[in-house]
Amino acid sequence: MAKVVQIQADAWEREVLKEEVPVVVDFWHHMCGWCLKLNPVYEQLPEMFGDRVKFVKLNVIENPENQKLAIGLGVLGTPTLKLFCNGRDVGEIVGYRPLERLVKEIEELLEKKNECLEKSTPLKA
Amino acid sequence: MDGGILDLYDVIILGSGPAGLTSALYIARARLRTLVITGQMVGGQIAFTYQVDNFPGFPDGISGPDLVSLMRMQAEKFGADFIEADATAVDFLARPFKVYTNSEEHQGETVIIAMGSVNRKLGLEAEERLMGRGVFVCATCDAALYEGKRVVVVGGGDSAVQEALDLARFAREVIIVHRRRKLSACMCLKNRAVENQKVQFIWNTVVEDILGERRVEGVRLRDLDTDNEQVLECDGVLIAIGWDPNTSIFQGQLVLDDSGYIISKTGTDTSVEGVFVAGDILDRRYRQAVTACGSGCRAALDAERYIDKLRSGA
Repeated sequence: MAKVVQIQADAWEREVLKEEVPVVVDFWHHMCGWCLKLNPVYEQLPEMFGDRVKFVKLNVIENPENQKLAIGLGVLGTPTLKLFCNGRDVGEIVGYRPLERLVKEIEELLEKKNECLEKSTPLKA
Repeated sequence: MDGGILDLYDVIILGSGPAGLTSALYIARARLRTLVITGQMVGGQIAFTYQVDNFPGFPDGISGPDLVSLMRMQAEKFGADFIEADATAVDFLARPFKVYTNSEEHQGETVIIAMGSVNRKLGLEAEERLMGRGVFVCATCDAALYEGKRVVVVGGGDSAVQEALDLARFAREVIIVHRRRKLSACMCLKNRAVENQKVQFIWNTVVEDILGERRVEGVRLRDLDTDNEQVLECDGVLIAIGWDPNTSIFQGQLVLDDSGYIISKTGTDTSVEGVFVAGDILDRRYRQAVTACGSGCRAALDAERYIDKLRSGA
């Protein structure tokens, strides 16, 4: 059964940037009320999207590396969900959403992803 | 049901913070049919608090979400029903009273309003658009993301100064913009702010606009004396200008004062007999989980008495 993957900054490249499927990352932390409210909603997504999308979460205050990573990506509020495809930041959803709306907005981001895939040139090794 | 209208409850409680849940516990325990319409912020503001250390009975503290979830379990044990939705409109002009959520109508012989308060807003278009993208209301939540940045804090009361001090742990520069010439925060906070090297002040000035398309890039300020405007570049704007009672759906239904507060003579009654009020929505002074519980209890006991009186035909 697909699950949300908790990661730390040191796994960023492997778990997100080099992933073949699109990756949604939940930038959250444990002292943010709306994040706590989003958690049970977010955890339902892996099963709903199956192997089309990978769902990851990163706690932005757990350690200085995570914090630095989030700031570097322009995250200014929690929760922020970002979609990455082929190592590119394709779009974001800022703030809490109930399940139905969240699914719809992620689908919309995924459409942008197709655009991104068409336009992007694969990196040469 | 007893052949009456299927959805007729004895008491409909609006709100699911400590006030609403205490009301629900008392009403349900009195074996009255009880419906709680929770609102979008299930559990109220305390459910957004990481750690609560001043609620009696929990010597090690308890998390806000755990505290309200225990309160809810206790009310459910006695049979209270819950709907997780926002009350979008009410009709208190006819009886039984009606409460509408987006899709449904609910009927109650009495209503207890415990919908709390909401962060006051500046009322700018950019404020909504850039929320979470540089505009924020809670330093405890997001201060760490402003490491090394320049942040404007709007307001001058206790919460504004506290938020500014929390932010100063991370930010490079914190600028408090206040419409008056001095802070209204308590002395201890004031002193700490003045002594903090990172905190600066711009007095007698209001925020006219927040600038930036995708991210906050600055604010446009106006000096209230001279009307001079200036643009101040910044990465974030924290808004801490107080709280408003969450009473907009009661306009035209209940008597409100100029600030939007429900007018109550006894502390639980309203201008409509059978409609009661509890918690922060009424409280300008204490605003604690414990005082909200006490207030929810009082409203519930008064609602019970009112129903008794109705039934006995007095």
